[in-house]
Amino acid sequence: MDYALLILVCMPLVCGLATSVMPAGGWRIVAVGCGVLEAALALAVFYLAGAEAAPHFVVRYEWIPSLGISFYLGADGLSAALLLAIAFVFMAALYAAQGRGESIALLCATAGAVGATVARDFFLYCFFCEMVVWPLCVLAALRGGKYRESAALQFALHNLLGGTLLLFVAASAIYYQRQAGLMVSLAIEPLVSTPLPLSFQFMALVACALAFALRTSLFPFHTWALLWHRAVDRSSSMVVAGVILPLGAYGLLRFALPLCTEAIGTWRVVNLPLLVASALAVTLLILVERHPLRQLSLIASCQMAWVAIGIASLSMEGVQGAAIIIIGASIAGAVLSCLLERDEERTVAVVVSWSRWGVLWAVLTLAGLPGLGVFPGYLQIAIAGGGQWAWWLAPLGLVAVLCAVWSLRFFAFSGRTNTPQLSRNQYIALLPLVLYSCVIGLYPPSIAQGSLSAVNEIASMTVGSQRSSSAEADSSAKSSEEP
Amino acid sequence: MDISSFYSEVTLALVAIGLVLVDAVLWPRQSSRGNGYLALFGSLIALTFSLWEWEASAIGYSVGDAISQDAFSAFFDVLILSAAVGVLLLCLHEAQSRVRDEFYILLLLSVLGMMLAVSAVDLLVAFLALELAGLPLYVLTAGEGRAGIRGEAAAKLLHWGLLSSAFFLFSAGLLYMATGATALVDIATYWSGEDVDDVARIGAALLVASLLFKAGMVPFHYWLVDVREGATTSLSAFMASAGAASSLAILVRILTTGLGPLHPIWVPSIAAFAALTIMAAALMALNQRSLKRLLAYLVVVQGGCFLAGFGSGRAEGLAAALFWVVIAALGIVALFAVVLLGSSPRQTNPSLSAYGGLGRERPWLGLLISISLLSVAGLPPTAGFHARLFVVYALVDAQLFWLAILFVVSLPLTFYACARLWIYMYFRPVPTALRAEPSAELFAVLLLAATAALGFGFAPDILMETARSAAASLM
Repeated sequence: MDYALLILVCMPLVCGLATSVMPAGGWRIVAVGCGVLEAALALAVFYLAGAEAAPHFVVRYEWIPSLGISFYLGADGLSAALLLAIAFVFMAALYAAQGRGESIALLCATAGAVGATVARDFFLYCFFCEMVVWPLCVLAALRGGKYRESAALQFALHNLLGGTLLLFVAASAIYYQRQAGLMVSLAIEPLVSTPLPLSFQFMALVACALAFALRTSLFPFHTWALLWHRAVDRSSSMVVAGVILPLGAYGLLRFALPLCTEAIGTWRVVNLPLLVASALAVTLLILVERHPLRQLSLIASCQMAWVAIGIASLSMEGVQGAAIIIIGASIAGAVLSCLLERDEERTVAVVVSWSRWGVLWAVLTLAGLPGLGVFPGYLQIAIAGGGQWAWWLAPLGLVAVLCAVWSLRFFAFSGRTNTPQLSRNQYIALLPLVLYSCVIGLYPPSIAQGSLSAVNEIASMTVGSQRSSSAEADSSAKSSEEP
Repeated sequence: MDISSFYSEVTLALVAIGLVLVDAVLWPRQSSRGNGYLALFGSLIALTFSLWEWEASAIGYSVGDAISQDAFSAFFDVLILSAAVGVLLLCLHEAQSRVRDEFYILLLLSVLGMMLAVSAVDLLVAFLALELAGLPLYVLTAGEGRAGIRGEAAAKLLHWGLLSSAFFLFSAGLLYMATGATALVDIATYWSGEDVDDVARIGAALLVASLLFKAGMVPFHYWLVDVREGATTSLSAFMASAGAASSLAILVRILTTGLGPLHPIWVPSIAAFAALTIMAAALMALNQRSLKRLLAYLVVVQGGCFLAGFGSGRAEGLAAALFWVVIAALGIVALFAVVLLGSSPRQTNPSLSAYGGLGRERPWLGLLISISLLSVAGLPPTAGFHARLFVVYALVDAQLFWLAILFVVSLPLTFYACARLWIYMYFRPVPTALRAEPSAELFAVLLLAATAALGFGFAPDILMETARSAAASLM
């Protein structure tokens, strides 16, 4: 099991190669088998490492020593929990895939997504994240509808620009580490333990905020996701809703928060209103949107705005809430995008009569119904909102409820068909996702204990350092005031 | 004189002379493929010698003050010869219909000129080497290719090539007038003195302008695109890879060695040229419909990215630029192979629509082309991604934040330009016209380029350390 993470990253690539040379009939077994094996291995990793804040199954090689970049993989509670969700999403997506090319592209995307989840080096995270872009464009090309070309292009351009901004942050971090005489490393531990100068943090905050807004389709950068869900097939839609957006938000939590904690604290008065306005705008857009697939994209965008609010609140509860929403929204988003039936041109999306309960469940989960996967996240963020900025949450919460009611009406009581495109096995492949989400929703501390402890560690380091630096600033201000 | 440092150059010269004899005596009026294979074999031997010279540390040797065999020249020797091997493979594919016997002889002479030019540390030797590299290209552009547009291409190449050579010679004369020397080391000593003549300053400025002209950087790029379009595809690939790399190498050597003390003046100027080149060429590449023209603009963008790394004025920046130029040259040769794939005897300048559905029709070929495109666009898992990081880091390290941001902004534009070919390959329908069958040579070029892009993507430090040692020999 020592090399479990390396196997998780490499196995899809090997199986992708095998799928491409297998005779007809054999490739599907390899592709789906790889998805199942990935899920089983991710479950084992979650079982063994999911309760810990410290990384397990660590693999570390020096990759570009001159720039302090290492091939550093490790699974702690947070990454193991997300890894499990992502592995389940890919398993379901591989079940739903219909062609050989589609399966190969999905397997390549799996390698990138899994790598980004367990990467403990900032550069490695950027590397794996961008590795997912090209296979998804191939997916869009192979199975997309009328708007596939512009959807693929917009998706790639937004993600590439975001990725390049992150690369700029990585290069700047190396530069500032050298300037400060620190050990040059982009691994997560030195980044968390040795805060970089405030001048760097402000620049990094702007670049990271832009990069993650682009990647997680925050308003006003949400247009690529609107087009994507309407243009592509079920698998690609699942991967974006259940993997790409959560991975972007995970990067914000894992790397951007430790990198620019003080800047986030200083600019909280600007960040939070902007994020709340973004969430509000998307929520209002949901109310006027009539196409279910575009509505799905807007709901996912709204979730990501909540995640960003939780992180920007810079409180222990907010960060914990953000982590729960990332995992919960990943699962519910993937299930919802899988259950919506599409026609060839993606102009109509309908719900199969007997799977409308699944749709209802996913919508309720995303709306934050108590007992379901995302609710504990909302609750934590609401608790974090106590104090000076709590009133902002009131209109947002009200509109969110209205939006949820509207979504329910739309999803559960409109356009149905009795001829499902998914087989029974494909429905069964969704069950682990639903179960996982229910367990998180019903008893978050037990199943997400490791995730929370890992988040606690990040939050205690970053929030703690922010508090201590504020306290130092206050004490120095007081001492200067005294005669 | 110790000849052991010049085995590769001597080999090339001997092979070129041998080809003249073989062509005249053994294979008159016969297929040129035999000559092509001999040229390829000779180039491979020369490449082996270059690598051996590098490994055996047979470097650091100078012939007077004229030629220096240092790590920098050895780096470019290997790059130029590798590009030449790729181009010769493309020639062998193209030879089935269009290439004459003299092509290989002239190509080898041009390679020899480029290898001498990157080693030259004297302005007159550099001029002679540049002419040795350039004259065969004038002949080849005029003699090969489609009748309609090759005349225009040859005229432009001759006109602007000779003009830049004239400027080079004129500026060398001005520098000689002021400094009394043509050796770069002596010229560098002159700038350290107290009374620097304005004539010398004008000479230095004209010298840099003439080299930027040869490299085709904005705003001196306007002749280049038509020349690339009019020349045969393999010749265009040669000029775009080895030609552009050698021009940039001479520029670097002259700036760092001959004009080293003027560092505070040329560093911001090169950075400004880099910014202008990257943005303008990337924008111009966006609406090209012919693949050759698109590639011509992409080569200019890659040159601008090289200048950006070098424009940081530090050894780390130069190393990043060298890393970049290797990855770009390999990718560009592979993409010119794609041009041949869409060409037919009637249409040597295919539009993007000729590649409709290629990725679906031939998935393996599509994969190899996609890897080269990813490398040129700077996406993982190829080495282009690392090249991006190295250049951005070099710019940040030199505190050129404005150029770093501009570089970052330009990358999606470059990506879009590359993605246009990719969109046709995967999203558009298959055209009715027949496409060329990929020969073994063409497939070999694509496979080698893709392997290098992936190999250096997974082990970038091997190439980067080599680039660092090459950069350290100059800065």
